[in-house]
Amino acid sequence: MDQKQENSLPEKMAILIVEDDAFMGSLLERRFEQESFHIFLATNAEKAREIIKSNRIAVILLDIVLPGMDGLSFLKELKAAPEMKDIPVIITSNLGKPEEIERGLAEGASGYIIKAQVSTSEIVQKVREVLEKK
Amino acid sequence: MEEIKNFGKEKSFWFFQAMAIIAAAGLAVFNFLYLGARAENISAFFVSLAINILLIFILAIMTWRLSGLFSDSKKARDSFDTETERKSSKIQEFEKITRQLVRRDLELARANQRLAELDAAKSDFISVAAHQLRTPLTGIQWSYAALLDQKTGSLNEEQKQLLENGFAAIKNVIDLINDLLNVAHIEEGKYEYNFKRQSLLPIAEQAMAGLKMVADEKKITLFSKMPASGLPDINMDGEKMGLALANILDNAIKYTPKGGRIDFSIGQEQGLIKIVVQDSGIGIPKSQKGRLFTKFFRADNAVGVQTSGTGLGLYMVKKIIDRHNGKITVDSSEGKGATFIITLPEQSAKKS
Repeated sequence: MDQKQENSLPEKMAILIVEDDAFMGSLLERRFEQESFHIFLATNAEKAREIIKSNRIAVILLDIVLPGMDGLSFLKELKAAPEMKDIPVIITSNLGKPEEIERGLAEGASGYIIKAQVSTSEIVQKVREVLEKK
Repeated sequence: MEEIKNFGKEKSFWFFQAMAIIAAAGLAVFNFLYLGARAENISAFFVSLAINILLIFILAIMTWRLSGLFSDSKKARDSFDTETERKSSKIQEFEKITRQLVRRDLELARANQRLAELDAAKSDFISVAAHQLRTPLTGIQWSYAALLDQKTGSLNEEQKQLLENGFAAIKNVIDLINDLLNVAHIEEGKYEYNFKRQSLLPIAEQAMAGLKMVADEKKITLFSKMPASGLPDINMDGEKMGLALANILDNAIKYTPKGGRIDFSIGQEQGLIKIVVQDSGIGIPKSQKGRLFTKFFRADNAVGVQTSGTGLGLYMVKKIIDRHNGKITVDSSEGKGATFIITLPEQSAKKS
């Protein structure tokens, strides 16, 4: 089914939003759809892994606090996997602890966004920047 | 003198004396019986008797001296014994205190560890609570923003006003949580500083630019006076210094009535960089000036003007200035505005 979606919307870039909070997830989804991105939503690392394996994802927005495997561990896993390590990951968290930001960037994240400090437009902006650099 | 005074008072003296008398008496009896019986004449008997008496006398003297020596050494030994006893009881006492100290030390170490654990738990709690609060609040803020951008349909003025008020209120709460988190980080010592030699001017200009909109809204004029010749670079964390200046300026704007003015100047004075922010606001009551930079403090007259303050801004400013080896003072009286003066040393700023 995912394959079909990809085929029917070849021109749209796909963003995977890994976010356990449904409210935040839906707002981000809505905002990115306005910008003509194709959105995949995953509420945990396991679901995210499946989506990445069967779809071509341009950028991953990754929350840190997740049920099960946490975002930073998942990031480490992504960066260690040859087939996934090139997908840019932007951490979107609300923790904002300096040591977590540092760890996230050290693990290879392309950016770190503290959701409470930005608007959705700024997140879109950040995604565009990362895509341009890619 | 001592000996004479104590003459005969020692038991040992009488013991030796008795022994001496018995010995002398024994000798006398032996003399008397042995020599006396054989005496060829009475005069020889008397000579031997005299010798006997002399002998007894000499013996008595000798025992007296001996007993004196003996009692002296006994006295010395006794006093040595009491001294040793006293010392050993002192040593025991010390040992007991040492044991108590060691136990206290252990207890303290345990208590300290417990405190550190509690502190870590507190930090975790603040962090988790802030996360839990920020997430839905951010969602609400984004929803308001989504409605306000009118892509879901146009809004009439009243709807727009309501949403804008809601948006501002949520922003205040988010700001409060951000402040709390910053303070929690400062107190945990996790507020990391990245010191770098740089000029204060661009940082000050950026802080000012960031607050221009807020000032414009209240029609407050911000006059600034920067040194034309620039400033020497100093060792500082630009981001934190920017936060401190923004907080001071924001504070001045908050408490200055509409249409007022704020003077912001930076200059050099006696090896110091001097930053002055003078507002025409409500001022600070004299009695409360001392507490201005303490956590959660808000002046009585401030609460009436601005209900949304957290009392954390100036506390944070002071922490940041302290970390740069600087000083912050305030000159104000109620109703007459306030002047905040920050001085930073040109040299010797702390290295992180």
